[in-house]
Amino acid sequence: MIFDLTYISIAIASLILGLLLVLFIVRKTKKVRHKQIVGIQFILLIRDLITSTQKHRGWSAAYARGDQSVLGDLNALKQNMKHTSSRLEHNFPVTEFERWESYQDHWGRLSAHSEQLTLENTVKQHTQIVSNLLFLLEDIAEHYHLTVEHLSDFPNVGLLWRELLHVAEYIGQSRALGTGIATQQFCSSVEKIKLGFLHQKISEIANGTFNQLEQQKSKADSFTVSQKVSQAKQQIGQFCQIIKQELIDAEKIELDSKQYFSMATDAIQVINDIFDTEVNQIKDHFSR
Amino acid sequence: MVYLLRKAGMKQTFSLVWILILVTLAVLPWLPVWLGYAFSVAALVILALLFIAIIKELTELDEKLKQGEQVEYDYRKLELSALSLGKPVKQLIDLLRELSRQNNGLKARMSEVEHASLQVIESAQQVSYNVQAQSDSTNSTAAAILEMSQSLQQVAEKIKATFELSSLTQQDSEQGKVHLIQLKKEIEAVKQDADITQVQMSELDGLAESVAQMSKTIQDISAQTNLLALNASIEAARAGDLGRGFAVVADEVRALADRSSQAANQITNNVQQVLEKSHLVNESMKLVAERSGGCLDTAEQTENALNCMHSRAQEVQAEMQIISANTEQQNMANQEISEHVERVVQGARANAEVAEQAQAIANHLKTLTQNGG
Repeated sequence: MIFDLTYISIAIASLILGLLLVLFIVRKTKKVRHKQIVGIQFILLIRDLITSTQKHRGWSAAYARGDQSVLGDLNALKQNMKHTSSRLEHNFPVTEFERWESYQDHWGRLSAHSEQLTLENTVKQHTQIVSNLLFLLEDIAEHYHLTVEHLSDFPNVGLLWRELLHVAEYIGQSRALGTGIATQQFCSSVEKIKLGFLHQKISEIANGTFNQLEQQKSKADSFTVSQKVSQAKQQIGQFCQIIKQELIDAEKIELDSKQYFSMATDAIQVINDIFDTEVNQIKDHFSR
Repeated sequence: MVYLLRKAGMKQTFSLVWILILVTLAVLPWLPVWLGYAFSVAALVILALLFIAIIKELTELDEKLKQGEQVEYDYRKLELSALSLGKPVKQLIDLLRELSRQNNGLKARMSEVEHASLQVIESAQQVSYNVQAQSDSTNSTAAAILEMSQSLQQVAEKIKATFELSSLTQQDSEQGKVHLIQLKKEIEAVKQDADITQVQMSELDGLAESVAQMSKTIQDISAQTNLLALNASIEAARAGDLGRGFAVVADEVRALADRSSQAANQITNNVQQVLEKSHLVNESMKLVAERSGGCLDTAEQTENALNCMHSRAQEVQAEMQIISANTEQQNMANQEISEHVERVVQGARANAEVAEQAQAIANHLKTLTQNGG
């Protein structure tokens, strides 16, 4: 009888241990998935903040060039960004990230005095803030397990949080710089070097990213993404050609600033489309 | 065990193992000895497996870190968060992430420096080309100025020769003037002589007329003598033989009277001719006097012209002196320009060298950034 009890107790103990093990595994898997879902929402808000900061950079640059009409838009955008920051702080543990504190500090100082800054300085300050936010977004993606280690169905997920957004940022920088050049119809040697560097970076990173997106398609990848990548390749190729021919190599700049701004915005838009499509696919994957 | 570690997490796996050990220790007094040993061995085996799993994870971590260079220090490609090694690895990932970002930032800066250095190379090449072109142009300019300077030297020499010729012309005109004055004096002397000759010819005419008068008187005397000799012959005829001798004398006297008359006629004729010739000479002398006057006028006009020539030659000489001085100044200015151009050429050469050095530096910079990248 004792023998039987011993075996029964052993079996019960083993069962409990096994159940505990399964419980731990399931719990951790659920926790990771939950974090991933929260992380996606978190990232989308940070992306909104990045887009708003990029817009703020463009309008601040226009204001520094003497366009007073954007002052209303700038103030409205500041309110919008304040609202986004507030949402981030209330709904997500953004304050746990060092880069958020750094952003708050830098943005607080910049937004208070952005109208008094010179064109070069305002562009530089905004670019630093955008760069910090891009790193924050990447940190959040890793903290919330939105990496290829935890999303094996999405081998290109890392490209979304870094390369794709960096291409958009480089296009944004060349939009700010190129619009000023097209308005003044003069490109200094330093501006040529900056534009040449941006042109080189856009071409390098965009080609590398698009090739990887085409070669390593995710399981959930649809025809739409391939189509969007192909469209983006063409559009960014044309945009790079315009930068090279009309701004860097041109003896006399005749490019219309509004036309250039519109082309750059379209190029950013196709990148954002790919980003949104990929993010939606990840969301769909979570909801299954 | 590695799977369990990764799926459940290190903390949870260790918790489970500790629970297993505690449960084993708690129920050990009621268990048979052999079973107690069996549980202890199982617990030890599980612990050993756990440590082996941890060592495996550490070995994998070591291998992945060694792959760092192959994946260009992109920590994402190492997939370190898949390893279940708890906080230390998380901190390591954080550190790697920051290092990777710094590396990317540095790479981007290097890339920008490389791009800028390429632009510097292009600019330096352009400067070098421009400076070379400038140097060539300046060399050509210097050669042209040198040629111009030599040409000006020749012009100055020619001006000097012309000036000397002009001086000689002036001297000649002065000498001509002297000769002309002498000629004028001589013409005046000729005129005076002609006037004197005219006066003397008039006197000669008077004398010739008096000779003609005397010849007429002789003719009258001869006619009267002839008449007397005729009367004597008549008287001698009357006297007959006595008068014969007288008649011969009378004939002789008559013959003398005839010869005197003829001689007087001849003298008259000759005087007439002398008068005619004298008249002609007189006319000629008048013409000589008039022509001498004309010659004097012409000589005066020639003198005026020579005076004019002399003053013009002096003016030309003065102008030549000014031109000579200007040419000299121009020559000096040309030499100065030539020296400046030479300095510009030297500057252009120095600039070309500087541009080449800048190009070399930029190339070096590019090489450095490429090595660094």
